[in-house]
Amino acid sequence: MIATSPLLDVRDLTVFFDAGDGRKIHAVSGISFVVEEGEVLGLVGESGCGKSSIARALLQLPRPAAGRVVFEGVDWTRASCRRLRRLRPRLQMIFQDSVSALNPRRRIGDAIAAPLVIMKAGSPKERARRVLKAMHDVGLPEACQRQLPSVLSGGQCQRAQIARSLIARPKMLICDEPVSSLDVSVRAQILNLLEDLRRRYKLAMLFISHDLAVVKNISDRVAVMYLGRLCEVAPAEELYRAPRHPYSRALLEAAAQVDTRQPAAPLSLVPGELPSPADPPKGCRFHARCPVAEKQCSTTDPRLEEIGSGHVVACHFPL
Amino acid sequence: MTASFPNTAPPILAVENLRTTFRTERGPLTAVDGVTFSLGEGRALGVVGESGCGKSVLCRTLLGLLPPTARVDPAARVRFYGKDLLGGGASALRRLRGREISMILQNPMSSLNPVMTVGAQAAEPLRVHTGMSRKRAWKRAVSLLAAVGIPRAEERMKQYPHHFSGGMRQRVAIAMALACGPRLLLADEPTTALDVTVQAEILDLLAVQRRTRRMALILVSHDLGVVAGRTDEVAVMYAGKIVEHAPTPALFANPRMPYSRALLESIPVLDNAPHTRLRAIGGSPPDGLELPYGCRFAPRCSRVQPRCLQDEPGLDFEGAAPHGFACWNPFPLLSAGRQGRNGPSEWRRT
Repeated sequence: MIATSPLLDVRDLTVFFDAGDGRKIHAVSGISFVVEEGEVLGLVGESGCGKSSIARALLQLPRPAAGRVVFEGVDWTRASCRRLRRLRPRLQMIFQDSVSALNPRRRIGDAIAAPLVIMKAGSPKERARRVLKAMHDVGLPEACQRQLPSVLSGGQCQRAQIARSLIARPKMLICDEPVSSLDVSVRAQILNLLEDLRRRYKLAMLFISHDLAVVKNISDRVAVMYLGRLCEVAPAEELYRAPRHPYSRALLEAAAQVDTRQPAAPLSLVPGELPSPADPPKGCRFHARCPVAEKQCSTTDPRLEEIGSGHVVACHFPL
Repeated sequence: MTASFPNTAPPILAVENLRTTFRTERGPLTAVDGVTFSLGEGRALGVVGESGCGKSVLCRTLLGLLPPTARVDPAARVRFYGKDLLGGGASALRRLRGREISMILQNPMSSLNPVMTVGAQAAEPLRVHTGMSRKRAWKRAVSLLAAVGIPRAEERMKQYPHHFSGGMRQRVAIAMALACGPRLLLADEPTTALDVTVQAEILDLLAVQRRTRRMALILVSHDLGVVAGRTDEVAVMYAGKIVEHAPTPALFANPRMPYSRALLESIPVLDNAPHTRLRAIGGSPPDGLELPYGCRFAPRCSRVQPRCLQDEPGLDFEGAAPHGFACWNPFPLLSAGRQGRNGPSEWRRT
C-alpha cells in the first residue's frame, strides 16, 4: 500500500436491481470518488437517487454489479465472504432508523458487544470493559446496558447504534441519514456527538442525508447525486457558496426556501420529479428538469470534469 | 392572567382550555394540556414543537378524530363560527369535516386508499358533501387536480395511488382537502415525508391556495423553517402546552421563552460554516405520564430559577401586545428597530 493512497477509493461503482419485469433499475451508474483519512464526505440528493444503494454497495451488501471498492488498499469487491468478515469492522455503518436497527429482544449491552463476538475479539471481561468505554464515549448511562431498546428514547437508541459501530475501532463510518428520524433538539446532540467522535478518533465518514444544512455542518467535501450519477463534488463551503451544476443550485435554492425566515425567490428548476431509474433519460440525466439545458444535453452524457481545485462537475454548461 | 392571542380579524375558530388525555396501562397520559387560542379568518397559524408535544393530538381533537382511549376535558370549548365543535356529537362534526374544515396528513401513502382510483377518491368528497352527480363530481375533480399542479389530470384520474410519486400523492390529498372549499385547513406535517425540492413546491401551493380562497390554515410542523415564511403567527408547543405565541416575524426575531430560542438555535442552518458546533438542548422532553412540577421546560432550561421549579407560568400576553409567552425569566424584549432590521442574527450573536 502506498502511503499517499486515499483511505477509500471507489471506481465506477455500479448497482443494478431487477425490476421483476425483465428490466433493470440502475440505482448507481458508474460512480467514482475517494475519501481521505479523517475526511467527511457528505452525500446529498433526493430520495431514490441511489444514496443508500452506494452505502450498501460499499459494504458489499449486496455486492455491486461492477466497479472497485478499495478500502485501506484492499479491494473489497474481490474479497471472499470470510475475508470480508475480517475487514468489515474497519468500515462500519449507522442506519437511519435506530430503533429497528437494534434487535428488540437483545439487551443494549449485548447489542453493542455483538461486533466483538463476531470478530472473536477479547475475553468476556475485556469485551465488557470495551462496551462500557463505548457507552461512555457516546454518552449513554451505564444503566442502559441491561435494558431493552424499547425502554430507550430515539436519541438513546441512536447513541447505542453509534457505540456498536465504534466498538470495533473502525477507520470510517458510513452514516445513512443518521439524524433524519430524530427530533430537532436531539438531532443537534447526535450531530455534536458525531463531530466529537470524528475529532477524537480521526474518523473518516461518508455522511448521507437529504438535509443540506445538516450535511454542510459536518462535511469537509460534499457530493451531489442525481438519479444514480454524481453531478458535482466540491469542498463544502465552495459548493454552498457557488454551486456550478444547475441541479446543485436548484437543491440549494429549495433548501434555502425552507430554511430562511422569508419567502425566497422562485425556484430555477423545471417543475417535475425524479425520472424512473428503470428508464433513465438519455444524455444528461437532469436535462428534462434543467433550466439551462441545450440540445447537446439530451444526447451526450457529460463526464465529471475538474473545474477548480478539488471541484468536479458533470455538466456541459456549468454555471 | 392567561389571555389569548389578540386577533384583529374576526375569529373563525376559538379554542379554550383544550385538554386531551389518553388512557394507558401506566395511567392517564396528558397529550394536550390547557391550550387556548383563536384564529382569524384567512389567517395562517404555525404550530411547532417536537414529537410528543401534542401538536397532532391538538389537530385531531379539533376534528374529533381521536381513538376511543382518548378523553377530552368537558370544560374545554372549541367554537367554529360560533358553533360548538366538541358538544355537537359525531353527526354534527361529520357535517363540518371535509366541507368546512378539512385536513391533510403527513403521509399521503397511507391517507389515500390504495385500491381506489385517484379520480374516484378526489371526487368522493364532492359526492358526499355536496351531493353532486357522479359525472359532475368527476369533471370538477379533474379541474381540482389540475389546479394543484398535476399534469395530464384527466388521464391520471384513472390511475391508482401507487402510480403517483410522493409529491404527486400529496397534491392529490390537497386537492381532496380543498374540494368543498373549506374555511379552515389543518395541515399536519404536510411536507415531512417529501424531498426538499418537492417540499418547497407543496408549501408554495398551499400558500397560493390559501390566499386565493381566503382560507384559514393551521400548519403543524416540527420544522421551524417550514412555518417561517408561510404563516402569520406561530405557536410553540412543549409538553402539551403552548409556551409562546407570537406573530411569525417577532417569534423568529425575538423569541422570549427559552425553549423557543433553544429550538431555533439547535437547528443547523445553511449559513453555518462546516464543523460548527450546534447548541443542543440537553436531556429530552418529559413524557405525558410524569410531568415535572412547575415549568415543564425547567429541567432543561438554561435560565431556570427557583420559582420555575415550583410555579407553572401561564401563557401571558403583556398588556395588549400580540406576543405571549409562558416564562418567569424570559429573554428581554429587543427594541423595535433592532428587531426589524437584522432579524434573527441579532440575538444569534449574543
